[in-house]
Amino acid sequence: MSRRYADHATARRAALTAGVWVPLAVILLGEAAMIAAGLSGPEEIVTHWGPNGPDRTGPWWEFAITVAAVDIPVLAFFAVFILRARRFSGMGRWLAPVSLGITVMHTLGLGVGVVVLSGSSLVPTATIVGGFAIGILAAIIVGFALPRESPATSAPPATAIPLGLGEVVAWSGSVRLPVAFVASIAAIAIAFIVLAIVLVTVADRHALWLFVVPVPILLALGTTFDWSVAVGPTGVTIRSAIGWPRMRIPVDDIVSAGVTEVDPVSDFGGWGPRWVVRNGKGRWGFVSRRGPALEITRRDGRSVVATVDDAATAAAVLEAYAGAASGGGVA
Amino acid sequence: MSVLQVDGLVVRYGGRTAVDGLSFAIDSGEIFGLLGPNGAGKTSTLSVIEGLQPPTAGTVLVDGEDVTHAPLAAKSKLGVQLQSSSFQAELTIEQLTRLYAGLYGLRLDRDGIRDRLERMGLDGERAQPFKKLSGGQQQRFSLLVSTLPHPVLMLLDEPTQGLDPQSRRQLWTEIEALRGEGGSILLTTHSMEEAQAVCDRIAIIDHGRLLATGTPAGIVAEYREDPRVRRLAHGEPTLEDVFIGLTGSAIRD
Repeated sequence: MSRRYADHATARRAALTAGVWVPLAVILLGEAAMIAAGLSGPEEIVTHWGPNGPDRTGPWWEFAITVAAVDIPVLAFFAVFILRARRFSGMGRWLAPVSLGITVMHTLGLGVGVVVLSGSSLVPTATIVGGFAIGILAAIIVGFALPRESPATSAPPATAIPLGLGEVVAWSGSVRLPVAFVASIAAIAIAFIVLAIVLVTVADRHALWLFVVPVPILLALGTTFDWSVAVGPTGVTIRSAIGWPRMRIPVDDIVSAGVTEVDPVSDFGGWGPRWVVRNGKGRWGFVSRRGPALEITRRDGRSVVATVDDAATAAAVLEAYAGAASGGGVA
Repeated sequence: MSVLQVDGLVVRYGGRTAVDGLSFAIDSGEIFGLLGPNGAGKTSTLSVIEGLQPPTAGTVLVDGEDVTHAPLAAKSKLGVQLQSSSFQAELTIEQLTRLYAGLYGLRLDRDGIRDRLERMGLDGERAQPFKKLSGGQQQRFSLLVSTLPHPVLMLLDEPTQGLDPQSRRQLWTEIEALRGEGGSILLTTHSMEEAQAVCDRIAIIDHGRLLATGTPAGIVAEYREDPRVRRLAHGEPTLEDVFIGLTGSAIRD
């Protein structure tokens, strides 16, 4: 049975409703419930739990402020990506459900549930688990119920660059994240290191774990901020600035190469090295930015996408050698 | 008017009868002791009064409110101190007092909290987490929490069990003070010394039935010539002699 797909406008409207307006209503209703319960309930409630149970009390409105302070920025974050999404299929169709799930989970589990049930032994474990369960359930139901667009088709093969007999052409290019962005991420990692040094030497030896935090941040930065793509007679090599991850595709394994438009969040769920499934086939992505990218289709139907400047030339060169390898010959 | 009226109370668990037609009443401002060996039916009786266990038959009125038909109204008149209380161990007793006052719908400012703690001799410990209190302090704090809403009737389930003599005496003083403020108290105890020291009247029950009721001295006087009591007494019969004489000397678990 074939599925009916929605057009982009319909899918976008549904995603905005489910991923922005409904979560906003959940937040507002949650705030109203917390205010109603807080004003008629105890002035102070348990506001923090440690390994041995409750260890701090405070006013109920701490939870109302926390929900607003966390959920509204998170919602704004998702709203930006839903508004900018080019296609609501694949990873893109999960933007709205994830937005709804996170909002429901946090508003109910760590806001409304704690304030309304304050004093009960159900808090916090049952409210957190309950909020988590309801959030995930809401996300799954909405994820399958939302109209979606058809999956993007593979990039059409580029026009092969004409090569003379014995002529050899090579192309290389790279794409780099904006310097300001890289500097900001690096500054966060450095801030953690400084904070860890200060805390460990001045106050708390248990803060040693802070030294670990910058490691994945720097690793993610190193593998994401600069990608280079090299195309030649033998195939294509894609590698990060630090040399890993690295992928080599021999020309014999290439069916076609073309240019596709990439929306990192919609198509791959984010940036960096990514792997998703599209139309039942694996799709690798080396994603540094939004925009044109080189897409290589392999003989087994899997594809590899790399965001790189002047992807059209890279595809044309690759098409020339791929065509030759498959019996097309070189003019 | 009685603050507690128990009439023909029956509690059965399957085929076993824990309380068998028990009747007694507590007057306003009275400290009433419920005495009985293990398995006599004390806890089952308290459970019905607390609204935790529905009676099989009979009625229980707390300040005129039927615990079966108006459980919330009846519970609102009660303060309950269990044998062992488990408060949030990491919270200070000042935090706990404010927290539980809030749960009772009371708004206590800092002075109000200090006043309550001072009356229980706990003002010096207000910054201590509950887990750091001694056993006696924990029991006094438990008593403080159960009296926060000024209940009409306090139920104290073996309040001094496991306490040293000093702590026990101090708790008796607190219990007397509560009565002085107009409260009525139903306490269960195994201690004849405690029953004689603080109770205006007592009831001795066994196998769910009332065996004797009256003032401690009155009960001793009533049963002093009873052969079951005389056999046990070394000289003048004591309340303990009467208790064991009426309930038997077999060990109950």
